[in-house]
Amino acid sequence: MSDDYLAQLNAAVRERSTEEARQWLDDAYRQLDTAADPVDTLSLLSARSRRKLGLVPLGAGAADIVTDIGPVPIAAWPLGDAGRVALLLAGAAHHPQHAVALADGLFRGGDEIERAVVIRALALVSADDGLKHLALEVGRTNSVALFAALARHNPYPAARYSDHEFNQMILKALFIGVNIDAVHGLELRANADLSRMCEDYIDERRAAGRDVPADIWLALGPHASAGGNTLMLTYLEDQDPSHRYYAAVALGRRMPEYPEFRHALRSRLKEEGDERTRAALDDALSQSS
Amino acid sequence: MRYFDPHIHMLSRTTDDYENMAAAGIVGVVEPAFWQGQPRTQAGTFIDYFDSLVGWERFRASQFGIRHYCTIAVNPKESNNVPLAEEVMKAVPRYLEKDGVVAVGEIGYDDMSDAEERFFAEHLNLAMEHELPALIHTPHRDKKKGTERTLALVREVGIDEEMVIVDHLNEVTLPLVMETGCWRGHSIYPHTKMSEQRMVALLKQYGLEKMVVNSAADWGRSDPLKVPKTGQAMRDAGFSEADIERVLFTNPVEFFAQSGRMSIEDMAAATIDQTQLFEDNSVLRGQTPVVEA
Ligand SMILES: [Zn+2]
Repeated sequence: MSDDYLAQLNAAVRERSTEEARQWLDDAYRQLDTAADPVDTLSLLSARSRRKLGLVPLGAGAADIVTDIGPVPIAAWPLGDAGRVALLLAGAAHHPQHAVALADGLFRGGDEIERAVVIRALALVSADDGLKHLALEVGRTNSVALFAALARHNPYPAARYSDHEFNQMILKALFIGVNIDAVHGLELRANADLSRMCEDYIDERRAAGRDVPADIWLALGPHASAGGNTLMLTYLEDQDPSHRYYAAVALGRRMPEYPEFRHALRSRLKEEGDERTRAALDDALSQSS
Repeated sequence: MRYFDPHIHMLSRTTDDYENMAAAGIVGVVEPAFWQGQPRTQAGTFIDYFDSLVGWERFRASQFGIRHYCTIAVNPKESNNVPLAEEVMKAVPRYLEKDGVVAVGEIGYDDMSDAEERFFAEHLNLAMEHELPALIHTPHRDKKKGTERTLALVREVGIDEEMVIVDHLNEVTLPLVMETGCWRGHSIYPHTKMSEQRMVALLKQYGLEKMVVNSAADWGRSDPLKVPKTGQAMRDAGFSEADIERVLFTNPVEFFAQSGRMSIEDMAAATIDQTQLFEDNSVLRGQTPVVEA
């Protein structure tokens, strides 16, 4: 399993690398295999990886790696960071008793980018709870880059978090400005408590005279209360096209239960000038007809 | 005019400072590891400090469009706690490999004790091993003697002088460094070190080659805008815009670019934070992120 992930990632890195970079990677695998202290060796190799392999992204040709808990998209990973994950997987395969310690050590000894790399690769390294403490720790950071590595395009939280942990992550994302449109499994993991938390958050923001984050409707919508539905319908007419867009998406998803939303979406479509919102409205109206 | 502050301790500064620096044209900074005003008592607090330099502080800077690099070392003052310094030295090589680390520093003499000399030499050797430049602090007390001994140790260890910057220079110590291949650093620091006007006089007398100016702003009474203020003082004294850019931007960037981990081109590119490198620029919703206290 983990071997397959390594094979796929290794192939993707090699395909885009120079001969010199490939040789460095081969040599790095050998150093890891024979390392007396694999954690230490991995830390050193990981630090060098970006300088040796470079920052070119793997690219659209690199398919998502499908894991037991969901897909891990790798196309946007720079070669140097993909190499870091490949080295981590190779180390874990060769020293299975140290697998958790290797990821843990790479995270502890890493700079911010290396930490984000470990978090992005959680589903590849250990899809169980062995590294959940790292995910929860990152969930407490205010560093946007690191937090986004956990919250966006990452199947781990939806698979391993309790409702409470998941809800906290979503609220924190809304709070620090990380867009939740790429949270894996958001619709499936959304729950009534999350909708209630979002409604309360909107109350707070409005009481303080502050903007409501536009993507909040994606989290509030799936289990919205009657009051939540009213809010979504109100923001469907907001001046900010982002609000109209996300409200349209969220309302559209509830159409099977609330056919009466059709009227609001239709009349919005007649006036809508924003292209993205028009597409979302079209989509919602065509799916339920 | 774009500026680069090659010596500033941002961990001690506020977001207002970052805002003002960005508004004044500062596009990048180097934050040297130093002491924090009181001695640390355990290795773990050094490690957390180094982690802040390669992680959290880079993020803070990026929020204001400022590129943040750092240098790593056990500083001279705290190297006098030998057992502690020995323990921290074990972790230093690992940090010297990090992408955002562009030199070994600040190292050098403070009291000119034996312990300081030992760790100073060890750091110079680490700089050679990791192919990094070295940032050398010169002492406040007995400065001339300290600078002479600094240059003697640089020669003795055998590090390429091109890879060395000797910092906090003044009218007395600059001439000593002018006789070497080392780069020349000046800290424009109110009340204690050097003023903009004195700096301009030095530039007139000694020329622009390898001359570098920084604010050395930290937790003390200092001014993070001293680099752009020196730019204004140069302008007032008749230096051209090209001269100002050479001393206050190109020189420091070229010095630290010898690390192979940053370049003039990096400074010209739009600020791309690491999140954006990973996916796209839609990570943030668009409004300025709120940072919780
Ligand atoms: Zn300093």
